[in-house]
Amino acid sequence: MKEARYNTSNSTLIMRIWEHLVFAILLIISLILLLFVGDRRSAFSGGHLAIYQRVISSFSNIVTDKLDSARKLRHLSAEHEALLQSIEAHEIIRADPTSNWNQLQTLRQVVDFQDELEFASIVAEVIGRDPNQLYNSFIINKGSDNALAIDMVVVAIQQGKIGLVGKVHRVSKRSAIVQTILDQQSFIATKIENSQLNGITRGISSSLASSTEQIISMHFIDARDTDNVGFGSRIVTSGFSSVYYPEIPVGTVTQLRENNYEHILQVNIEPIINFNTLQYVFVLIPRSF
Amino acid sequence: MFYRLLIYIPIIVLLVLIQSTTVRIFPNIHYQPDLITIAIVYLAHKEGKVAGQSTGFFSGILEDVLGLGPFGFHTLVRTVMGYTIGFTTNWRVTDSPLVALVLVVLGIVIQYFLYLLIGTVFSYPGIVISTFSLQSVWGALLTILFTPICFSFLSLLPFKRSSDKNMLERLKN
Repeated sequence: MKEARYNTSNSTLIMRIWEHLVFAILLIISLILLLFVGDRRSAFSGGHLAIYQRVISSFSNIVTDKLDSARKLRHLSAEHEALLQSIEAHEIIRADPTSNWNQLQTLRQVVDFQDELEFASIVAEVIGRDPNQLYNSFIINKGSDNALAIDMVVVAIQQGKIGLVGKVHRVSKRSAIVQTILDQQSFIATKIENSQLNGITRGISSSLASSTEQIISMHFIDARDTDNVGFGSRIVTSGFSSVYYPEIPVGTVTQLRENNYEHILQVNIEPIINFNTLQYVFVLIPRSF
Repeated sequence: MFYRLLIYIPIIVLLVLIQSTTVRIFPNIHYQPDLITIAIVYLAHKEGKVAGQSTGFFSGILEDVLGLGPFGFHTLVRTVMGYTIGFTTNWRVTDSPLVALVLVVLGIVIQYFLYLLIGTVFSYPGIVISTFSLQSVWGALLTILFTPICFSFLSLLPFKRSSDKNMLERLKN
């Protein structure tokens, strides 16, 4: 009996030592990683995980599509009615050459936009997001094998509008991590279009926005220039940085806040891109690259 | 224990991948429940400190690889969280849903405390700001909301039940 108790207490003691020993080892490894790898981690870019993410992403898309289709079905009859009513209007528009002309102009603007910036672009699919909520980033299915490099600018087109998405933050062979403009650590040199009002734009979505909003804010505009900043004004990149090229649309002004003690304006901007529904992006590659 | 870790680790890997790919299920909301925290809390509570800290360590490394934060940050946070929650493995009342919620809240509190501590000590102001953000609050609430569902799902897996373990220990003594 005594021997059995002795054995039990012995094994409990060994188990306790083992628990603490494992903890000490894992803690030391974690601290070493944080101290000596930290932000300098080109070797740990998770390229191989991209394959699995692609599989799960495809599965997730199927599930989402099924859920979406159930929701869409509810609106289908109403939409059907609305569509029937609009057929007449569409017939008129079709006969109207100015409508086609406007559409052509929009497409021309898209092409001109790329020509002006002198970039080629690579289309990439969003296959994953930052698993944690502290940062705002996503993973795309193109990497260094497709000539992607760090700090390349990423844009997207939604509803016919081009908008800035962010920049490539880290690259592996088959995937890359894109830091979005919503991230708090993202700083972009921007200006109000057709004016000389320059500022720095950064993400504030994680701290101030509501559950459905995605907002970024522009800082360092002199408060005396309030009259020159209108609601709905377009914000574009100013080109005063080595990363973002000039004249890339970022968003539109939704709110002005005057910081009295610093005499500067904080301009809240609604990004052109809805990041929740982002599926495909364009990575801009300089032609000289 | 080692052979059981071979079961836990693939589960955690799968959860991290799911966490990083299924945001589109909530197309208009950019907050998401932290399934990884729930799984680590569950494993640490049911299986003890070694399981908690090991799964925490692996999930943390994966999060660091897939995310934008400094490498080692989530590894450290998840390891310490798994280890700390492992102390609750001897709690007598274990299968109540209320206990599950208390444990996950405890896990979230430890996690956010470590965010602040590491963010301050290693000078990552973005982490400190994000910890005090609405996103963190909504994320935590969603995590708590998802706890009963996730615990029910995880209970289907063949883990050791701590109530049974307590019973065995009592019989031994």
